[in-house]
Amino acid sequence: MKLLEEQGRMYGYEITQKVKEITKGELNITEGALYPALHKLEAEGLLDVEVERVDNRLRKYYKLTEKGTTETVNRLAELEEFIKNMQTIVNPKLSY
Amino acid sequence: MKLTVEQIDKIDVVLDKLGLDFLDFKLEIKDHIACEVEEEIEMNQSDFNSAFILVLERWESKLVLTESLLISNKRSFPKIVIDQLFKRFLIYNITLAVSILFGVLIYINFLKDFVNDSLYVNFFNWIFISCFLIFSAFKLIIYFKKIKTSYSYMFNQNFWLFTLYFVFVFLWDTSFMSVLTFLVLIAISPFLMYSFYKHQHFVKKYQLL
Repeated sequence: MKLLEEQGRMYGYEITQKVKEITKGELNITEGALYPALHKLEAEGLLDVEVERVDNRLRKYYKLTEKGTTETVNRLAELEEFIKNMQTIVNPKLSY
Repeated sequence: MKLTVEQIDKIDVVLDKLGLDFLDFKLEIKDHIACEVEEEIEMNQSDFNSAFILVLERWESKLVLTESLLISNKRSFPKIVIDQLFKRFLIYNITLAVSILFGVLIYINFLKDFVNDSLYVNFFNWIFISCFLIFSAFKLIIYFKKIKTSYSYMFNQNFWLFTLYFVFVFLWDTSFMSVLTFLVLIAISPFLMYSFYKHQHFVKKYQLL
């Protein structure tokens, strides 16, 4: 969702490649995980779909809806809070 | 290097042969495979056929034909399709079973005394007939569009169940059947409407191109 927020709209293969590029190959999203996740977000109304003809074939682009943009902000804030808490647990600052 | 129309058609034919005939799934899987083939050709300077075979090997575990009695007892689907349809069909089957069970309990406890009321029976039957006519019109629209999606498949499955029940009710019409008719109607109708809406929504986007 963060990627879609930054890029505007993306298609499935593009998302897998972008994730690979950002994580320097550390994270590899499989198609079996990506498409169900995208379809779920679409069904929840967080993503909208545009179909376009590109390079002799049809391509399905995903983009965030208004609800999806708000939800991305909320989820990222939740994730940041979670990471902060984890860091506190893993690396606590001792106070005397 | 971008693939030609003929090469894209070849991918399409192979995916059809592998049982991937729902356009809502095939559209993006075909594009994804085509992107991988293009990348393979560019990176390793290989020809289309070798690149396509290599990519298909990578997809083998997701395209392997899998059976699920919950979805169909007649045919199998690629695993990537089954994984996504399973939840949809599970919700449908549970809703149907719970509605019928709930209805039978209501009938036994509250409605048994009204079964001889012809007005009450006729009311259920007329609603059922009206719904059957509406859904038959939906079925014809789907049939003439000739586009197959996972939603049209779900609609067809529910429609035949609805039709079978419709015929059954008019062959063996008793008041208890009328109650059950109404329950089946309540349970199946939302799924029929939802499937039709989603199918039409996809077809509309697809046909704009």
